[in-house]
Amino acid sequence: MNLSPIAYSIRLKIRVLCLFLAAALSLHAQKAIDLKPFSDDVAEDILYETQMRYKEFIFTGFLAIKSTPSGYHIYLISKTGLTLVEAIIKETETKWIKTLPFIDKPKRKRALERNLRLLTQSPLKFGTLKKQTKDGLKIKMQKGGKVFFATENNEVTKGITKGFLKLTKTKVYFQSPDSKGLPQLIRIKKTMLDAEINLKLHEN
Amino acid sequence: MKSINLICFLLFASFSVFSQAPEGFSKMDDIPQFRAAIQETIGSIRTLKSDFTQAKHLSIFSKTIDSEGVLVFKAPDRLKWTYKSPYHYEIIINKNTISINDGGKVNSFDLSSSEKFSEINELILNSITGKILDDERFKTTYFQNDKFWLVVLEPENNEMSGFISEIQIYVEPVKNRVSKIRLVESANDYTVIHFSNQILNEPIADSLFNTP
Repeated sequence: MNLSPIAYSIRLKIRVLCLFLAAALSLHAQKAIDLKPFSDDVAEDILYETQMRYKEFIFTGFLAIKSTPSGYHIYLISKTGLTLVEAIIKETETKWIKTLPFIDKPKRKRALERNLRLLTQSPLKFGTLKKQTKDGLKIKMQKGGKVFFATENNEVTKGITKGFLKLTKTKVYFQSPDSKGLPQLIRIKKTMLDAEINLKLHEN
Repeated sequence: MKSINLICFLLFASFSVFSQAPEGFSKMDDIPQFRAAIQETIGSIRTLKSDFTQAKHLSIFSKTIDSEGVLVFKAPDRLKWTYKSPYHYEIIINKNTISINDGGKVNSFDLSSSEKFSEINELILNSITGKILDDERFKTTYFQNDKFWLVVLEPENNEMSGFISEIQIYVEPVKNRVSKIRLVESANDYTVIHFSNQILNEPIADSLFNTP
């Protein structure tokens, strides 16, 4: 088909405009996330008294968190002092340094990893910003799924996981930040699952 | 059963305590004499009460995670291990029953219901009665300096060595009392338990070991 010079020029302009829009949208999707996870840039030791409940089974102990350039180094410790889990949560993988045989099962480790990624707010560091509104941030997580972090006064107050056809959703609440911005209480609740995790900032 | 397995590990952690000569120590000169002295002292213990402080060292932390409490033992098979601060957590062994009181929530188990539970119970009581020195599940080496006799236990069982690399028991010479226990998980992760105010052979009622 032969096009007149004017028609050709219009079609070219439309193509250039489309390319420009696509590039602009792509840049928008990769826009850096302004907020940082609460443990970033905190020099002090971060320790939470921890209660994990799944149905009638309850574990109580401590969760230690240290932010490092490559990820989040965490320890789950019993009250008697034994380390149950030591791991580093990285961008695309979790390095399991130590897991007791009781926990060293793929399904249990996956569930634990999902919860640890959320409660450390690691998607703020490793995820991709999909949408930002006055109410919060929608982030695509590296390990799959999306999370919406609600914000107030430039701090994350709540996170809700989203996923296509995902029946079980996780809600995580970050409450009562201290002077360093560390939430004094963190609570994880599941829909359609009788399980919860409660953390309280420990003063040693 | 899953809960029991976990509790076994948690329990073991509180009583597990570390083969090259540690810094400041040399190989023990007279191991038979040490063993005889320990066996004589432990054999004379009918009851034992001791305060303890526990410090957990983590490679990622600058400070330790501290707790303290009281240990009560009545021969041959009653034990109460109580954390009083900064939280209340208690493990009680009363003959064939083990109870865990976690801030008021109590769970009790029959030791005979689980082979692993029985094994852990045996390990705990052997630690206190000194029989652990002859336990084939550990490679045992002996050291000394001018302050302590040091017994180092290395688990030879893969399951156990996966979470404990060494157990160090520090014994005060003359008194023949355990002064300190150090549970080593990895080079920079370990727990130190110091014992103080030890009282031997004071009457202790059996009812102290009843489930709360």
